[in-house]
Amino acid sequence: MIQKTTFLGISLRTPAHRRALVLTYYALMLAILGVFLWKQRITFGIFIQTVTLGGFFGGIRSEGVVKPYSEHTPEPGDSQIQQLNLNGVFPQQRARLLDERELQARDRAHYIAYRILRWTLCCAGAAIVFGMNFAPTFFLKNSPNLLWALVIFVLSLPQSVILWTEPEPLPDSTLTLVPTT
Amino acid sequence: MTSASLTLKTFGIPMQRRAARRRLVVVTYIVLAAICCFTAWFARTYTWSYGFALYAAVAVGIFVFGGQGRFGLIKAFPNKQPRPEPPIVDLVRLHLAPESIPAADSAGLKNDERELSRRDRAHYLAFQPLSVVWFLALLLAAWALHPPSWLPLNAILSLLFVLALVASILTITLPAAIILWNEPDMESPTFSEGARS
Repeated sequence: MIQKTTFLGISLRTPAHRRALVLTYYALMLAILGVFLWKQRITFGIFIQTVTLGGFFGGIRSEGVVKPYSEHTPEPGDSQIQQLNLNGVFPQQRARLLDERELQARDRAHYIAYRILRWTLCCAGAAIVFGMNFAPTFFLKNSPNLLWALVIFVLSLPQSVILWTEPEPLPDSTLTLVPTT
Repeated sequence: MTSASLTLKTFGIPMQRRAARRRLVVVTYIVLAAICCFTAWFARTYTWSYGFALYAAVAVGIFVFGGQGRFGLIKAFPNKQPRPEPPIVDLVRLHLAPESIPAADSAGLKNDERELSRRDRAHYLAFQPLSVVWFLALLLAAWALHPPSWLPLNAILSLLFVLALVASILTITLPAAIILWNEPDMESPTFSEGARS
């Protein structure tokens, strides 16, 4: 599911590194939200920022650590066509498409992300009720900024789950060929 | 994926057929949309009524579609063994409906591998429209800060409120609705008994 082993110069080989990257990303997003709340300014340029930052880890974009989520549905006799490359799919493109295990990992990540999102929305709902009672002006003024944070969270959550849960790859030494008799 | 209470009936209507389940999904969303409109209209005067649509969505999620616990058409999504019932429940059941004791066995409440994969896939499919709806809400919220001259601010805010309600309702109900929509026709118990004899 992960297509790059380094990202911005950081090695992503171990789960610890990937988790550190996810935590850093959310800390950065919180800092940006803080700046937005402080400046109290939002413009239409924010939509480009939202897609760029929400898809920072890939998944919804083709570039990034996580492979794009687009699917490859094999057609009848696909393997032969694949070898002859008659359908115009080049090997490097095909390598970026998800195999069966990766499709499962993708769906599983979305399930976990969905559960996290549900609880987040519950907390957000409680915060809105609380905020509208005690600081309605602040809440109404900053609702776009807070929604921006929510959208960033929604867009980035499945990729973060994948980075967080992807196991460590087997060391090369375990992948030795055993000669058969 | 359907629940092992295995009655497969909602409001007395059998749900083995996909067409019946699709009708149920459509009717449920029409009712939820009506409740949404009612809530949006009612909340202008009575602010405490904000939660009506959400309560309805939670009720649909738990009791009609399922996926949240013992009730509903779909087995619980978290694949855990349900909490054991207190012994008094079995005792009462033995007296009132002894034939229901074998059906109350909770072993069938867990999802098998195929059902887990279908559950995950439904959540993946549900995530896409949900992201779009929240993105539209962001668009409207930003628009509300610089409202155009031809559209009053109150209209944008009302639309934003309705959109947030719709997004919340979809978050609660959409994966279960996708499963009910896609699951093929099931074998009817009466039919299979007839075929066996």
